[in-house]
Amino acid sequence: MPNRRDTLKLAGLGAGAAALGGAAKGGHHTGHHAHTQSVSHNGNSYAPGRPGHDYTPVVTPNGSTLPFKVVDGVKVFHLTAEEVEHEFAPGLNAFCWGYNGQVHGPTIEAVEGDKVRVYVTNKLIAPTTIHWHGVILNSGMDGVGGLNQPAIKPGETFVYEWTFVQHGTFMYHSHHDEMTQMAMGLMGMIVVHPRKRTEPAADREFAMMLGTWAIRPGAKRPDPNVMSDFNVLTINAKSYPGTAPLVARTGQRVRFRIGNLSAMDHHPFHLHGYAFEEIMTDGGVIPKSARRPETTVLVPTGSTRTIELVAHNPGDWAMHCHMTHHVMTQMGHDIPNMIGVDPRKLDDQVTSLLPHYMTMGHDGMGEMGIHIESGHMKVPENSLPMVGAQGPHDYITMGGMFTIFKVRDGITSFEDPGWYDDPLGMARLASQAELARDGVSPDTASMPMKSYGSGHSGGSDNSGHSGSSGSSGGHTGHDGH
Amino acid sequence: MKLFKPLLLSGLLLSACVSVPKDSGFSELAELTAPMLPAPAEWVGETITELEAGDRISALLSSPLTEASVAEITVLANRDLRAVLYGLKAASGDFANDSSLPNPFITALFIDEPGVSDEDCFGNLTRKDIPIGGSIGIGYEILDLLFFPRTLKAAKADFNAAKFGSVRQFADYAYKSRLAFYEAMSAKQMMGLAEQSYKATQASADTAQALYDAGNIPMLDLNREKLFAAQMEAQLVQAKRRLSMSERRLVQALGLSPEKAGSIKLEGRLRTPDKSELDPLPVQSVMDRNLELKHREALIKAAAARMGLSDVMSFVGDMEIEAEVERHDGEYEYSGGVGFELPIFNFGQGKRRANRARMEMMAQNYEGSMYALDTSAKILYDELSGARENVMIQRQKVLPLSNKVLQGMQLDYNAMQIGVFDLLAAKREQLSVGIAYIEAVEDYWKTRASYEYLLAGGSPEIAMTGQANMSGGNSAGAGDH
Repeated sequence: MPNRRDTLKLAGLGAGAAALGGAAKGGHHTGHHAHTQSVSHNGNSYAPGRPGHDYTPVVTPNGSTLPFKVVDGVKVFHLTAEEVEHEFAPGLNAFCWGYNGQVHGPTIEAVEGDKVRVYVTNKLIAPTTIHWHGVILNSGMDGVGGLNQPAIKPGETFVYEWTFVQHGTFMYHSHHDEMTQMAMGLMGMIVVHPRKRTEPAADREFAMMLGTWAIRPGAKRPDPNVMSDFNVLTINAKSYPGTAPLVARTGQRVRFRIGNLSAMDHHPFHLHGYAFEEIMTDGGVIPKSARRPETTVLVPTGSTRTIELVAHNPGDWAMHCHMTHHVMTQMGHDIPNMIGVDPRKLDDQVTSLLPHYMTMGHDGMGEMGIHIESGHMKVPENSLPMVGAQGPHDYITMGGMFTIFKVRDGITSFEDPGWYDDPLGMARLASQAELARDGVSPDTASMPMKSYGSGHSGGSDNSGHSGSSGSSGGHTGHDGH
Repeated sequence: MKLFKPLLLSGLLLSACVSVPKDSGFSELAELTAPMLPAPAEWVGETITELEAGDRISALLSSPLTEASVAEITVLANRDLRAVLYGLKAASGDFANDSSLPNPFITALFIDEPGVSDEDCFGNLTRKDIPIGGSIGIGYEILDLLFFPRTLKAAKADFNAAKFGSVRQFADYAYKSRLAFYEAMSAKQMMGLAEQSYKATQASADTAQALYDAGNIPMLDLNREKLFAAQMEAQLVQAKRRLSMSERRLVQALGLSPEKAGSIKLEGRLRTPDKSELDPLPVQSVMDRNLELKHREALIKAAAARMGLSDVMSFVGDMEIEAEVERHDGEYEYSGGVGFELPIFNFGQGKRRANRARMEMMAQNYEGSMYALDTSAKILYDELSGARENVMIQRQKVLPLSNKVLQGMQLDYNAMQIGVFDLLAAKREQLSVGIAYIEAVEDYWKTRASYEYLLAGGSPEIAMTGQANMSGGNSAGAGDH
């Protein structure tokens, strides 16, 4: 039975191969690739895929797609690794390393069967390489410095060349001194569309790279030496409120291609208002029989996950990593827990020594951003408040790896449509009449159990049943679908 | 006798020419002390009344002390310094005594002459036969007269030595007060910072208590903060002790009565040194002006004058000229003579050898003092340059940077990078920097006082001792010497 290497040989991916499958007509490919191939590549060559014709171009929020030209049937790309001053969000800039003047690098987009040639020019102060993460290609093009190739020295331009024999969501990143170079931002997304569609076409596709950074407030360069206390969490190298919203029209099929090249973290990425299906990993398409509805997709580091939904529920929907510290920005984690502390005496005592002191954290962190935005509490220059930005109704106490999926009826432009005004109403202050109607007293700690019809007023009775114990009539309907 | 008369006459003339200062040399002392005192020297009881001095002291004490007022109060109030002036007066009396010609020695002799009486015709003793006779003699130590000019020279040198000794003691007392003033001022300033430092630790401990009460930290963390606060309380007690001790030393140096001791006011801060560079060390001027050297020089001159006398005396011994009038048998007889010690057993070699050795010893000591002065002046100059540079670095760099660090820590606190304990620790660090600055300024002023004391003619040994005592910063310091 042919193995993976055989398949590559059969697919004619050796260096210098003129066309897909030219070397071994009639060969077989393994079942491992079956999920990622929409067509047989054996002996076939394909014209370069055309955006808008062969595929719907992916949108990279806050980013761009790498342009290409076709030379003799080969798509030619050019990446230049260089230092870039990058804005993570208004107020925080840093000297990062990126490609083609942006961080992260532009998304490389192609179609299964496209032969590509990627030139990589090194304008950094250090040698580098690029690894094409998840892409099936011959070993010599894999980009591991020292293993597959010599490193690209500063000033040199290397060329990589292969044919995409799969479709899916992949990534590229430096594979020379990764700890430093990835921490500095040298990465980007690769989206390869199927040559032949096996899934319904998506109307909107978003490429999103999750990343973690360590930037000391007031500093202007990521610190690659940090191992665990990352304080700038990003989607496409932007931290909320720097993240651009993801806009779709009601009814559109939307696909999110999410990659994670964080140094040390996985990200359970959660979307509000929807259940979605995880249709693909960077290993291939998930068989339909194996898919299940989800509201959170765990994106391990070094992986991609593609999820899909039909945008039937208009609104502004939070989309974020569900690790709560990943929606905070530039917070220190070695600070005392002040929750529940009466700040009055401390304020008096400490302000006599430090006039600008104010006890913080005694009722949580939520107001920190407000204090900073209002200007009465200064933070280091070139730093972001720990949380959020002003929303339409109040302060949004989330930052970092957070963005908003905006679904609107009948829109034709996908520019930011502004805040959603829900015609069905929103949560509000309960009126006295409502409280009286439903027998709710704010002074009562919990709902009287008799309200649930069990006839028992206490938490338990002689039968040993309580309202939540599963006795008849005791269910609240939480488990209904 | 022909020789004696001119000797006597020239002796009388010399004696008349010697002018012992009527003010016991105070005006010259005032002139010599002028460079080291901000106000003219006064002699309570001679140039100023006790009442006037008291009023002046009260007026000076009604304002916060300054270097100038400290020196003036010392001159007016210090009993030991007054005693020095009476010592000078005593030396002046000794000078007056030694510059008078020695008195001649007169002897009178009555002689009974039995068996030489006559009887008249009635058998009565006639007047002629009354046994009456005698002699009157006048003697003069001829060597005293011969060596009177030398004796006079020695007396003058003795007085000069006493005068320079008095001036030096003036300098010593003024220096001592100045050092005590700097130490007290420094202790006062440090006390203020120690209080703030204690407040900062107390605030930390109270915060820890609040956190413990809220259930946020364990007892261990609370006790750590309490321990630190207790240690800082002990440091505060030490600071209070130092202030109290230095204030009492200042009172002692000023020589204030117990009634006035409580009136001293220490306010403000030790002055920042001038920005101008130090003038080059005036080595020759230091040599010329040094009271220690002048004192030793005067002692050598006095010793040299006496040595000539002693050399002759050791050989010749006593030499006396005598004149006598004698009445015998109603007849007057005149006689004269010279007496002297016959050097047959003791030629005075031992005495002369001892004299030579003592002179040599004094000459060696004098030369040694010159070298010591030269070295001390250079050491103090270097120390002063270094102390000044230290203050400048502390003031121009360390203090502003320390303030910036604290401001940065406040911003970091606002940005929740650090907690209140770290912020208060930063405040304590800033206060420590303040204390180090005060120590540096104190070091500078004490070194400068030592240097100026030496320049004004002070003792190298005392100047270096003061320097050594205060170089420890918080040591008992100048009040001890």
